[in-house]
Amino acid sequence: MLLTIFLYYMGVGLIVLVALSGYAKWKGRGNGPDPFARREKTISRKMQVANIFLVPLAIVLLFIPAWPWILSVEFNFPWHRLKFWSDKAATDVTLTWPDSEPEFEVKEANLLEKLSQADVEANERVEDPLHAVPDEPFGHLYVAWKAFVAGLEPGCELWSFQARWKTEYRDNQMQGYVARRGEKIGPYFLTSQRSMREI
Amino acid sequence: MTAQFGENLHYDGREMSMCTYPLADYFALGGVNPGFGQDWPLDCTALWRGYIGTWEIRGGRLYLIAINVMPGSRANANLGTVFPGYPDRVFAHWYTGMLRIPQGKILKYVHMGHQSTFEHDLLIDVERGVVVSTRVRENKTPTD
Repeated sequence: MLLTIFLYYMGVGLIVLVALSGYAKWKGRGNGPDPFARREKTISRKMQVANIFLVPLAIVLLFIPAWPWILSVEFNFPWHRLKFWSDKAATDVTLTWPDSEPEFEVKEANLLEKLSQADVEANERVEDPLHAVPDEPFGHLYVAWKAFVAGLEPGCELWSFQARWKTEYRDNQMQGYVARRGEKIGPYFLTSQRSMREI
Repeated sequence: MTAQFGENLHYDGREMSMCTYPLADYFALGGVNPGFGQDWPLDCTALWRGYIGTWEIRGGRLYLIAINVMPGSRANANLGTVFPGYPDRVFAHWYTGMLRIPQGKILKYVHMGHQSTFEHDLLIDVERGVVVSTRVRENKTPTD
């Protein structure tokens, strides 16, 4: 009797696996050519064998016994919204740096040149022979620039800057424009950030 | 972190895999991120950033020509939604930096990010979306 129930359970798991695979393919249709496919050609033969045989085998062996749980995760069954699970998920995904990273800030010494908004916008016009960019200052970043300008306090100056942002985790050269009002350095608009290792 | 899928690059008549993510710079400089990299739990740990961009170097310029997301991702985006009005091609004028394209046999596999070592790396220097130089760096098998 128990064996029969076990076999039914595993059989249902197999059917669910096939159905879910079909569902995943249907859900992924229309996403264009598979960008992952080309990688298959560049990986070693051992990895290819693993991808073709071992990974599917592992999936089948893991899926069939655990199919109710996998189904519930895939379709976000109601009990996943219960407080216990939400709290557990929140605890599980709390990834923090060992030490908080100091935020980037522009200092007086980083300022290069005072410019008018018109100067900046003239300097930052982007052109492309294939017309793959808006005919606006900062091209595809024009919306971000407009938002930056809209948030500036009246009477502030615009300066170009170049600064180094060195922390435990990065060492970058940062360039852009910053607002300055009197002695106070205000918000900035980045135009480039580049690893110092490349410079 | 698992070894990550690279970006696709069409260059010099060939398709290559690139270890640099110029679209990340676009988001860092103020471009709107539609939610890439915010799927949790991850369906695929080899794609923490949540998308694969397809790039092309044409006429000495770097273009983004497609964005593919993992099926089922919450960021249901493509090139036309990230760059409205530009569904086929986007000039990557925001990008200044080095593109790294590993080539040849793998000398040492590291199951993390793009830390594996290949025989050589094609390095393409880009300034505001325009290619300024290319060179090949020969690598040696790293010693532990």
